Amino acid sequence: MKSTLRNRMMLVIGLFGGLAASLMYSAGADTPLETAPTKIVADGPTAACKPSNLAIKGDRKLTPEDFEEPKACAKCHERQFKGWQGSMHSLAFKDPVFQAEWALAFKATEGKALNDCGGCHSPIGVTTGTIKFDPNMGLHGGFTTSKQAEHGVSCDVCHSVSASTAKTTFNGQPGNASIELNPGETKYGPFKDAKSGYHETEYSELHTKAEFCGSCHNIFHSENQFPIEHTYDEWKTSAYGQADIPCQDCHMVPVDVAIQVADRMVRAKDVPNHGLGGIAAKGSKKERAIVHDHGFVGGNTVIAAALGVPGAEANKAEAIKRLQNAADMDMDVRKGKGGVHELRIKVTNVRAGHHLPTSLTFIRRIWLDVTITDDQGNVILRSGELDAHNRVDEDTVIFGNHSVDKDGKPTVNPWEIARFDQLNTIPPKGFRYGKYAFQLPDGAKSFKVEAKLNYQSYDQKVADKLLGDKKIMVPTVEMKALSRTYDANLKVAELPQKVVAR
Amino acid sequence: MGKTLGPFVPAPETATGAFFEGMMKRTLLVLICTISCFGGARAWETLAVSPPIPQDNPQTADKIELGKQLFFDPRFSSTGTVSCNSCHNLMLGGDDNRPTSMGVHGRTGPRNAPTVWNAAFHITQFWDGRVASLEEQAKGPVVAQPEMGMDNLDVAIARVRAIPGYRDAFARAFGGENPLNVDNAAKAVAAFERTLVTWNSPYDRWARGEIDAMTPQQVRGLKRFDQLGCSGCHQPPMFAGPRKPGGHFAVFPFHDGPFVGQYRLKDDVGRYAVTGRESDRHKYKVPTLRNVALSAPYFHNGAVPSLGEAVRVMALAQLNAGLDEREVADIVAFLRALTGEFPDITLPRLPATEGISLIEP
Repeated sequence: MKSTLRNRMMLVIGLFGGLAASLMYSAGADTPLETAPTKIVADGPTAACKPSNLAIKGDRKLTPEDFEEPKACAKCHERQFKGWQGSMHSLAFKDPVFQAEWALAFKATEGKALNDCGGCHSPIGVTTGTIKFDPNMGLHGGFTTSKQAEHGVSCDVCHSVSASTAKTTFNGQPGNASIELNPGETKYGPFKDAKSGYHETEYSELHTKAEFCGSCHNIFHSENQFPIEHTYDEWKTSAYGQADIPCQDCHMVPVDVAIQVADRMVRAKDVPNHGLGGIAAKGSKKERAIVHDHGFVGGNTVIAAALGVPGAEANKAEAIKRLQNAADMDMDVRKGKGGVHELRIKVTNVRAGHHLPTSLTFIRRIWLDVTITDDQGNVILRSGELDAHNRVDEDTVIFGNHSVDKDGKPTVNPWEIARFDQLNTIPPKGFRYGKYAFQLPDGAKSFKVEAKLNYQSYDQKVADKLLGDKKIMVPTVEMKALSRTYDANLKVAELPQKVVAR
Repeated sequence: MGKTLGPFVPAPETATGAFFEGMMKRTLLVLICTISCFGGARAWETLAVSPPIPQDNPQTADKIELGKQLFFDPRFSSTGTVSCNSCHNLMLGGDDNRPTSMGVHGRTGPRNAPTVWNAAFHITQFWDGRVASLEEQAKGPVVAQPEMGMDNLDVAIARVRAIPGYRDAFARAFGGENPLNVDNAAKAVAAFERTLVTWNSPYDRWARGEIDAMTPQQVRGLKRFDQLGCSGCHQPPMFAGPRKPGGHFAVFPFHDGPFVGQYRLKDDVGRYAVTGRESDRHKYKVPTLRNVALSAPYFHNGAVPSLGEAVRVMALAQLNAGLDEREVADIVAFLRALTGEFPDITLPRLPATEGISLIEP
């Protein structure tokens, strides 16, 4: 028995259609390699960074050896290294889900996606021209690169950023790898008085700003310029952006401090007793007020753990904790006409400085799992239950955006997306409702509403398409749960309680 | 609190192995190799089988033999008394155990002679890294006034040319027209120096899996060496600076402290003298620690007499760490495990000038 308001369904129906379309598309893209476009395959790798906004400082031709190995940095910056090792930044190139998506994009765009995606996922590979497409990797092909570039967004990517190239982008905003790299002796960082015996240091205000992160966490289609991922823009127009609380203050501190930042709306350094002080490198005499974590924890609980990289479990635990503290949930029930009642689940984005979900809003899954049971044990509403395929059905309330191509056809392939035709993400400090209509059976004296807010990094169908059927089961994280019992007059009969973890 | 539903597991019908096949397997291998913490002996690199050989100077037996003769021949110094081997003594640790070397007329130079053993693995030469190759390096001391003291390289090569046996040796080693020239002499010496490698130190054997090759104290010393951050600059397998294009240079001393005055560590401006860049002040190439136990006294000015004291100075001056005596002893023990196996070297017969001397009285 199911009952929901239809207006929430369109999104889901659209998503289904999109996935179906993308599956058909991928079958078409899987043509033999010799016909698979790829002017770039024929020409060999190129060091030109376009269409990404990546740039190299001065007139330099870079080689992988220009970039430091993370393990070298680890010798003095051990703590930062360990955090990074378990992070998605370290897997930005290797992530098999991304690799498969990149391969599909590469084949579909005659190779243009090499730098489009590579600009952020392997800035070293792009600037050194060392990325090669290998049609025999994975289901759809994959990429190899030099040892240094395999480390994705490594220490020496961020700390070689000498400037932002945002001024040169089509809208003057950060995005699509809007960074200028200057690898070498000088490392760029947030401390004005940094001194190192090993490398030169240069203070970079950019590193302290959200614009720095926005260089990659703001992605536009390189031809139609549609903002496919707009995490930075979401932040910029939020209360956090207005209060100048940058990404670093939540994603480069432990979640307990991030919670304080969001609740107090203050900078991390102003959180009382944050306990994040210390020295930033071995052998240093300078005590820093904050030594930033480099785990860049967000919501991804899948890849690092699947690959078993060192530190992945800690990163995953932190990601789960972050997800479980991002949103809050409330509910009410209102009497409707003709014995039809309306249940409203209110989901508030209490602690994320961007929308929930953000980035790939068209494949991330935040949804409501709702059950209404009467005192007789009859289930009178069930919505958002995972099926045998690890997916939810089309009636489910999903917080996300719905993407379509230039002809308005649903698609989740980033290279085809021209716009979103439905928006349903939750803005920072804002809320959205999931609404459900139901009728109580005759004779029911009370009923209980159990609601859960669930998260998957991406739809199982996307994972299946990219890696093969059920090669991985996308884990579900329960972000929030709430249950409440009402009497037949829709008055709360039992105080709200959090569902205890089973 | 919520809970995680459907924890990540490979689907039942696919074993983990299947998931990791192909790309994943490769990726995993790379990841494992990336683990850089003290992961047991296997995580530590051993010396490469061969140092890098430049394309324009391939190794040949004739060239190496010629280079060896030139290396040991003192006749290319102004007084006929100083050869490469005088300061880079191959019968010892590749240096002269003096604070600073003594050249012609008893003159002494400003810096301690670096060991020539394994120098071929360095990406730059001299303390200040002012040249990139052994070929270029070989030309320097011949005309350095406190070293071999020749007026210029033309005068030096004229002496070589005056020795009939060398004319034949250069022809054999290089062929072509006028093979006996400065560049070829330098190439020959460099080729010989590329054979001066000490493999199989106790450390290398340990890192290859012979767990008894290092004593427990030496292993302890290596761990401490790593934890302190020494290996940040002295990176395995050479325990020298990284092979960066253009070289790598580190500030010494980094922190001020009592040792700085005591051992006059800041009297020398280091690489600043080469580049004039303020940021290069007191910067040096990070020297190899292989065979360091044999090359006392220590540092660029040779002012620190013992290895234990050198460890104390480095820990405090670079890493702000005061070590107790046991830690110093452990690290010294480890450093001794970097003493390699030295190849047998027979002194070469040098081509003579019968009936005359090339050395001016």
